[in-house]
Amino acid sequence: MAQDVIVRCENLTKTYDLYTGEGARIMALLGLPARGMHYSALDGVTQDFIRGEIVGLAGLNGSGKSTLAKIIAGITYPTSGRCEVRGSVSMLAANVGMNDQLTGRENIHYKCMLMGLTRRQIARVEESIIDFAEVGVYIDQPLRTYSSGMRSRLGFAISVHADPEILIVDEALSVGDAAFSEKCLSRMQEFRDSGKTIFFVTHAPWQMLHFCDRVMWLHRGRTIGFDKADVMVPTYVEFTRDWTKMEAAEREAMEPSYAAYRERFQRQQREAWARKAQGLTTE
Amino acid sequence: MKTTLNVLREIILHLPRTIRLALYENRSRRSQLLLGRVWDFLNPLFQILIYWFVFSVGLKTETRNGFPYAIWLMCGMMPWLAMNASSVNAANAIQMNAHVLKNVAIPVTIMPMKAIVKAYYEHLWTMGILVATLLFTGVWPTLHWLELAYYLLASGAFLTGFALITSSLSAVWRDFFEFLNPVMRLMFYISSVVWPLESLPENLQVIMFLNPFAYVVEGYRKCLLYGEGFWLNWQQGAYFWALTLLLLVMGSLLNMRLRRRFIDQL
Repeated sequence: MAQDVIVRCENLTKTYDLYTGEGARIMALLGLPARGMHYSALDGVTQDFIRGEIVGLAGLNGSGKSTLAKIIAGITYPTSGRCEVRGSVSMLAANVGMNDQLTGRENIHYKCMLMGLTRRQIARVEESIIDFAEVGVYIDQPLRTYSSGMRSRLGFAISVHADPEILIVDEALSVGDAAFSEKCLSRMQEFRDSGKTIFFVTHAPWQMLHFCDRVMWLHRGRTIGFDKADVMVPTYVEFTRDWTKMEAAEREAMEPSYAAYRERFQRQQREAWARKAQGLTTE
Repeated sequence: MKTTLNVLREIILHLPRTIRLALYENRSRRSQLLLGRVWDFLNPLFQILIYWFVFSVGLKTETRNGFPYAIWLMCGMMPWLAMNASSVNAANAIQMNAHVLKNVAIPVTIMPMKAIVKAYYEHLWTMGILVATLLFTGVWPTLHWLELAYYLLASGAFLTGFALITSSLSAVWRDFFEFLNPVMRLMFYISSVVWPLESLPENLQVIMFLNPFAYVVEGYRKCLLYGEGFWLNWQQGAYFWALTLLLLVMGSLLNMRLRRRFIDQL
């Protein structure tokens, strides 16, 4: 099968070192034995991702979604394993690199430079960013006079104009009002339609269902499953329903099985259909 | 050696972007000030006035060749202020830009380099006052003034190496940055900025020779006042460049080694 792999993760692991204090941290830095422990954020993730898809990363807090996203974005490094990224990549970060003292327009230039755009590229997208941000006459006012919504909208507008081949969206769509969120989502769709790849981290299952092609379910740094969104999202929701009812000890011992939860979701689906069909026949 | 070349390539490749970012940040600072760029001139002028009062009026410090103390001080103070601002701000640069580094894939070396560029951009402006003062007091330009370009290059190279080390260490070990402050204060007093190190006993003159900051500070005076070519002092020049090379090699190795740790520990 000659599918176009754009990101290839091979046995990715990421361990954070947690120390008992500054002294221990410095000792470890010098390569001396130090008191502390390791926290495994990613534990052997192997997966190929196909060009032109929107991939959702689902999982509880601390499951490794953001760590994986940051490794793909080239911001942090894996402790071991390889992450091969074939294309330019950028992480959508609405509030990063915004300077309070500069005007909106200057911020467009500043932030675009941080993201690595050339002067010519910036000139080309400037008007489009201003249109998208909907800040009106404020565009030539210092950023400190902006409301928080305007600020996020401008930051978001700049971020989505970076035009990388791979875009990483880590819980960044909750800016502005419903209309603006809608606009952001449709911008993502446009992005995908032009053949780009998107990694999408969110805690809102409906967004993922509505929006992603495939979803990867991570739990404690391990892949539980990777499947089409319309199967994976309801399956994952089944799991979260269980999870909220569990005690801490049960949670600790939990090893979720994708097949089992998918089976449960599909059984429920069948039963729902059966009920519907029954209703039809008895009528 | 390969690491050093890679790091240097990264720095040079991203230099245009670094400069543009630095200009915007300088602009952002100025936009808060009614007097804007005037402060770039006033700050060094105030410092020069203070030291002139203490060392010339109060302590009756004598300068070499009998140049007026104020002129002599000014020629040394301008490069010192640029080097000091570069050293301190570059050392802090990774920490200060942690938010950006944690969210944007951007070469980490841009941050300290940006601090150096910012300081030198202001320096080029303040050189205007220096030149104006020199002309006003009857010190006429000579061909030796062109050697300032050499000292700009030399201090830039040295500060790059120095910043690679200090910024990397400060990012993972905060105490190092605190330690740098007293070190720079000491450097100020042993770099021949406010009093001539020539008045030290012969056996202590080595401080001046070994101190790279003093090489640049005195270098400015040699160009502007004494009219001595930098090649005449080739022994110290050779030492200076050897030290710079050493710092660049060590700094790039350190930066590469610690780079993976910055992001997770910032």
